[in-house]
Amino acid sequence: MLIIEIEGAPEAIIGLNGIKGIKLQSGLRDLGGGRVRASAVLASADLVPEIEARSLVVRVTMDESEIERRGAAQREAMRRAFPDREPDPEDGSRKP
Amino acid sequence: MTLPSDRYPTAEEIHAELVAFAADPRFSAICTVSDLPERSHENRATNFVRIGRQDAGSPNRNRVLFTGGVHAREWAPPTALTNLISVLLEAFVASSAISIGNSTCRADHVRQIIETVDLFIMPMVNPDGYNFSLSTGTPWRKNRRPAPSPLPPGCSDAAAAIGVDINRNFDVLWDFDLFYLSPSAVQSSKDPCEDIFIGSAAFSEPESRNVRSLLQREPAFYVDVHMFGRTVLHSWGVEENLPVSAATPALNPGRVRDGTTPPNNPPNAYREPIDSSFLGGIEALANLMADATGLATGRRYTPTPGALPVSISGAADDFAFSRNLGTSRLLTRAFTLECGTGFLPDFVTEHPNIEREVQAALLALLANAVTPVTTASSSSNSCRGCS
Repeated sequence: MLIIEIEGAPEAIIGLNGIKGIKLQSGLRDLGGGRVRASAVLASADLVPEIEARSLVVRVTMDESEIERRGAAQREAMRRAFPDREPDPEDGSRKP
Repeated sequence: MTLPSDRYPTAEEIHAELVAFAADPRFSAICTVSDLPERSHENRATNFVRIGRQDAGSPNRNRVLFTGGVHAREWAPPTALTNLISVLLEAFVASSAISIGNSTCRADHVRQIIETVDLFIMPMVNPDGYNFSLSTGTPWRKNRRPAPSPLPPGCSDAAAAIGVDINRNFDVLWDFDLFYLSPSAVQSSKDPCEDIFIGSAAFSEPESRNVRSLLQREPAFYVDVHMFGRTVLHSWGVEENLPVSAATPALNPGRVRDGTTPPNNPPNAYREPIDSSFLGGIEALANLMADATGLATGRRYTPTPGALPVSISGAADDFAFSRNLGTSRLLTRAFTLECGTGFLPDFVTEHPNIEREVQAALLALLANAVTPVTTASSSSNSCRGCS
């Protein structure tokens, strides 16, 4: 999973609806000059070239490694807050 | 109050915080706490606070509802809403203003809000999912309903098949196949392995039923706080708006929606009727909330109809708005505030500004909720109070 911003013609962005693995966030920002910006959640970075092929500019705001880094930091925060909790045998988390 | 200062609180800590607010003798005349009627799949209780002069007694007091924590990985809204409760209560008892960046709610406006508005805040709609996301550090979205057994064809991942998207489970065009020309016209799914799984029936989930129980109190204003995008979404989310000059009729029951929006509309594309004066009122309110975010941090949110660029069925905001259409009852001005720029926001470096933006936007709405809304379609866009 990764989070991206997409810029370009509104019809090209709206045309991404229905492509498996691309979930557009609600809301378009008007950039002027016939261009808009949208945010989206992608299931995989493999989808970026497919978006760029539609003359859209993609900026990755949170890639998979960043999501993992944030997740690890959060797990560590929970470990510090609840040191006595046993990790869940299935997913390793320390459930409150 | 006792929320941790260096990390996101757990669902249990937020529950306890709400109890502590109501138990504080300084706030007892203006704040009560109650549990919602249903527990979650993992047997967690959720609660809400009611803020306002309980003895004010005016039948025309506007009810206002704020919810958060619907989607598990959107960590900021539950804390932002819980801290908004604290900010409001402390400012009221101290007769002080609330300043958030350049956004200010004067002391007399705080007092007016507490004395004339009946405010309900439910910061944690989905405690199981939130705790799961928090403890595993994963971008989980749904609740934690056990996966169906056996798994349906095409869905082989039992872990992914856990849960229902609460914000697709409300009874507004819930069974989207009946209302849209194709499944790709709407961002909702009947596949349990998908993040946007609508569930086995409308209101199949205790979390959405709990929100419905608060909506049955007929709020004049409702804001569901989500992440992300820095947008203020307003009606409609199910389709592009068709402003009409008469009171908006009940939802068209036909399979007519194509999910398209300009400039991709084909000739004669379907659009969802909405009373033009009501639309003008909610656009004005969305702009006021957006202005307040800009004053708070310098980053103004974008007001926009929810259906742009993608139609969504079964969402809480559209349910709140649609449920009284075609009746004489009050229409709810419903919004979704999409805060921040991504999931899993860092508590120390990102959360503070997100919280400022959420609180400034909601205070701006509250300041405009002090004037009673008494008719089904009348607008409230007096543009007064906190900004």
